[in-house]
Amino acid sequence: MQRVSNSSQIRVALVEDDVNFQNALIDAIGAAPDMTLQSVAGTRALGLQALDQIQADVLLVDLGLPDGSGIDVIRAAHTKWPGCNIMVSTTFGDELHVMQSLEAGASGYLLKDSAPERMVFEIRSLYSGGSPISPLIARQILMRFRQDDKSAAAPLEPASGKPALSAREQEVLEYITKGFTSDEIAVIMSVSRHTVLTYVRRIYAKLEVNSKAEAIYEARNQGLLND
Amino acid sequence: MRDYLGLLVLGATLWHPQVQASEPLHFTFAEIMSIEGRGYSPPPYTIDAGDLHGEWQPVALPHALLPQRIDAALHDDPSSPLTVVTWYRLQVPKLAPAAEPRYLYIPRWKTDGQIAVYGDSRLLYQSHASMEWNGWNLPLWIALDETAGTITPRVILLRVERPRKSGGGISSVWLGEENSLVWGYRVRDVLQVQLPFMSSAAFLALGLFALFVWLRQRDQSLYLLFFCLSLTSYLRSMHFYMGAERLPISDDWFSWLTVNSLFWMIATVHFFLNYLHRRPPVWLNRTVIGVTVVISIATLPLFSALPNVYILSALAYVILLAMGTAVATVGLRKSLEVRSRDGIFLASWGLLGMLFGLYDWMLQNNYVNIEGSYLGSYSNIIAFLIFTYIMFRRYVGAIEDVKQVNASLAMRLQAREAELTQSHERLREIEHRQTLSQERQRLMQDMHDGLGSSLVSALRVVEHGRMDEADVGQVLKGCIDDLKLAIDSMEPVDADLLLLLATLRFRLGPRLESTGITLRWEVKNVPALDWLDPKNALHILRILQEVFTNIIKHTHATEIRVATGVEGDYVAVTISDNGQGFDVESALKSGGKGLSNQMRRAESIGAEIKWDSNIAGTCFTLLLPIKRKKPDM
Repeated sequence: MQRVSNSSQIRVALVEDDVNFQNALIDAIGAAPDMTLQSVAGTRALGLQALDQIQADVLLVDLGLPDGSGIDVIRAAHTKWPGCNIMVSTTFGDELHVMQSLEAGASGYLLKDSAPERMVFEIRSLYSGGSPISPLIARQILMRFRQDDKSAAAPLEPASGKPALSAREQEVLEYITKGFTSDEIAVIMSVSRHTVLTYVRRIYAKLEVNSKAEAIYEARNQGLLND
Repeated sequence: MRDYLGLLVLGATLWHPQVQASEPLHFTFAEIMSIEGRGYSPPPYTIDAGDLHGEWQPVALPHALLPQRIDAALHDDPSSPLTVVTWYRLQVPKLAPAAEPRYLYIPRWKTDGQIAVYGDSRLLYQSHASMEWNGWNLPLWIALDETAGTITPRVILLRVERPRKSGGGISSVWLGEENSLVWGYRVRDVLQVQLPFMSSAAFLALGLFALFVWLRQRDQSLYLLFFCLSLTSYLRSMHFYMGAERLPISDDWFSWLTVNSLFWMIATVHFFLNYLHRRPPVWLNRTVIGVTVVISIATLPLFSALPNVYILSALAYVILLAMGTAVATVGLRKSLEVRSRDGIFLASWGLLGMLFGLYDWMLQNNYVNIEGSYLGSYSNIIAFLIFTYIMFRRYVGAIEDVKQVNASLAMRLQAREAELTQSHERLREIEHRQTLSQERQRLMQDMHDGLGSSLVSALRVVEHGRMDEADVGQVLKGCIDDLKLAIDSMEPVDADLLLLLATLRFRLGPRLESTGITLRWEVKNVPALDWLDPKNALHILRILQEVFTNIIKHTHATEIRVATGVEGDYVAVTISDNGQGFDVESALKSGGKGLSNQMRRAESIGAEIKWDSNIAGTCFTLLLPIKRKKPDM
């Protein structure tokens, strides 16, 4: 899993219209010996264009772009750059923005007011397979999967290939909603901190698959798709 | 005139002895002879016209035998009444042998005794039932014997025996082959016998239906009256079709039933009319009931001393005609007053029915041609159709009413529903507006106390150049934390206090980390707090945020411990540090803005705050009620 090595740098691509944040990030990456900034795009259109280049390891996307939503860039990157770790940059890390990014294929988020060291740390963590999470988002995901459980219990509901949370994953989420940090959870569950963060990554992946399945199910219901 | 014509016809037939076999013979002329006696005597099996010694007198048919005036000197014993036997002799012309059998057809006959028919001296037919109810309304259809060597009789003898004081008679007589005569017989039989029988039975069925309706709806007395009408009419109609065989009850009771049923019927009609015009005349009510009861009782066959009702019927019918006429006239007048269409219709028919009754009475007493039919059964049929029509209209009207009531109910329900929906929407709108305004107030208050005042004071300090960049950064970081908590507070936490604390830790964690303070997180599950809405959640976040800020700023602590637990009716959130502590009393007195804000917020959510401070550290406790006593709206 550890892909960080001296020979390969973490290639970071940035889609962000806020010049101050651009600069802060350029500085932070420049200061990090294991990272290089591959591209910087200031609009949605440029961001989509950048996806035609060689695949980056980490893609940072702002949602509020001047010519559209960063969600489109996330979705396109998820298809075109399948191995890329996508993270959304957000001021507040609020549930609405983060959840829709996760559902579009992002696997992490970066708070814009983070200190430079923190930013580099988050990028590294994401690259190595971990994902950040907040208590409110953990709760939101728990609720989402609980609803699915209910509908799956109904005999008429087709299986529809929706993944469910494993017991361990659910346990992690529940600890997070109670305020425990990943370090504390690692101790409680007798695993490494990194394992806890990869649990979160897996949970995000399931959430993305889930929302896609839901979208297809909805489309079928509304007759937009044929079987 | 008619009799004269009849004689001519008979004369013509006699003139031509060879008559076409297919043409029936119509006898409108006969010879009669009467023999007086005492008591009823059985008719002889054979009789030869030559044996009857007496004076034959020619008469025209139909012929009525009028009651005889009885000499007062003769004692008329009911067990053996004075009777008279009247013989009718019909001469039949010689008829050619026919391929088909021949029949004798007598459309009507009447006697209060017995009738016997002879063909060439042999008994062909005799009435078998009792003397009074002997089937006098049934037309006679007698097959002439068709045995070896028989020929069509040349002489027909009719023996009519009756009490001297009552009348009798026969209609004209027909003789012929079946296909030439039977239609006349059948039409008369249907009209005179079958129709009254079938219609009265049908009406009784309808009456039963009305009775069942009444049993379910006792206030609808019209249905009961209708049933009574159908029953009395049924009893009355037995007159017209019974009597060919002996009756299952005694003659006296049968007479009592059938004669009195007419009184009962008229009484019912009276009350029916009352119902229609709704102005019951009290005097007539009393009269009708009085007369009906008196007649019903007086004619009971129990009183053998009185002459039986059959004998009295002529008198009874006169009383009945008077009562019926009164009922119909009064009913008509009242119905005209109130313009009851049904009432007018029914009363008019009642008056007409009295004319029919008069005719029947005259027919019964031989004052009119006895070949006619009783009209009472037909007036009954039509009256009953009127009743049925009235009931039908009421019944259908009631159904229509119910339909209309239902429709109007449905409309009112719809209107009410629309009203409800509207008022519900209005309420929701008001609620929505209230929520918005509360939310606005809450955020305003929060901005004013927290973010706003922090920014303003930072601005003042920066303006006076007394703040370095790092301090400005700290102030701004604090402001951003404020904002983040305000945003988090808007997410519903579903009464989960731990989630709220988790959020607080998530937001303040990085800042604590940067100060090097260790955070020990020792929360335990606590009961759900149902009152934890965004507004109250923000109050709790701010109170605790202030605690952390104070610890970081003033206490030089190296460790903070956060724990939760239950204390009685409260959930306790404890935040303890190992800092230098402070004098709670003086801090509260000096009126520090932070502490007073905490107190105010705690008060507004019904919570309590406790400080326990010494040199080893400070323990802050926030006690949150599990159930809010009075919700703060």
